Amino acid sequence: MKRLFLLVLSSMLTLLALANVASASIYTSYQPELPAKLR
Amino acid sequence: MVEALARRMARGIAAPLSLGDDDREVLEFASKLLVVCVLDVTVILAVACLLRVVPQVVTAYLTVVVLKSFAGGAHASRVGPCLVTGILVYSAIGLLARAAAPLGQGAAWTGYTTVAVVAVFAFLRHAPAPPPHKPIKIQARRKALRTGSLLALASVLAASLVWLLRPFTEPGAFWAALLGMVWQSLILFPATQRLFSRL
Repeated sequence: MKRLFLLVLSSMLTLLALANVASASIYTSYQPELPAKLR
Repeated sequence: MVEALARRMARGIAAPLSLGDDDREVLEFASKLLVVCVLDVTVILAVACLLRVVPQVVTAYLTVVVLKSFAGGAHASRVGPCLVTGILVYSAIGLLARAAAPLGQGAAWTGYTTVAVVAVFAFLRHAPAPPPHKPIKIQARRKALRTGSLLALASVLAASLVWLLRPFTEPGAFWAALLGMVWQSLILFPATQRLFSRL
């Protein structure tokens, strides 16, 4: 159950990262540096 | 603090799933985005509550969310200055919008026309403006973001126009949307980006 929860969480976070890569920038004033895998 | 929390979150997820370093870095990046967004929204709304300008701040914030996702704009290099800038800017927008609310339709039309001209100029000339460490390398993506940013601006201008034409019930929010567009236009200019990169 914990593993399933972590899998869902990691998928959602990956989607968030990809959404940020697709957009011009995040809407807050701080944009973290992109990890090498997403460049 | 944000970096440490994001690192901890990413490790907490990556270790039980036996993910590699690359995947852990992606999770850490996403965790940073999440923590910064939650912190940003919470702090800005808390200050807006104290100043009693929540509708104005929410309107301005949503306007910038829509526009900045496509057009980009200036970014601070650290979380602290980012939060302080956000608090100062959105609180100022909220207070200014509340102060401008009693102004009549004539002033609203003048404001709308002026902001529309400035925003269209800024977007046509500078959008998209990604952060320096997130450059757009593919020309087709740049074109898509440029088209998206111009469509987003047209949508926000159209929504504001509808707001202006119907019975003028919430002028504070109307002025907040206009000021949000002013802020978004301002952060597209290279001079503002250079200034922010030093923060």
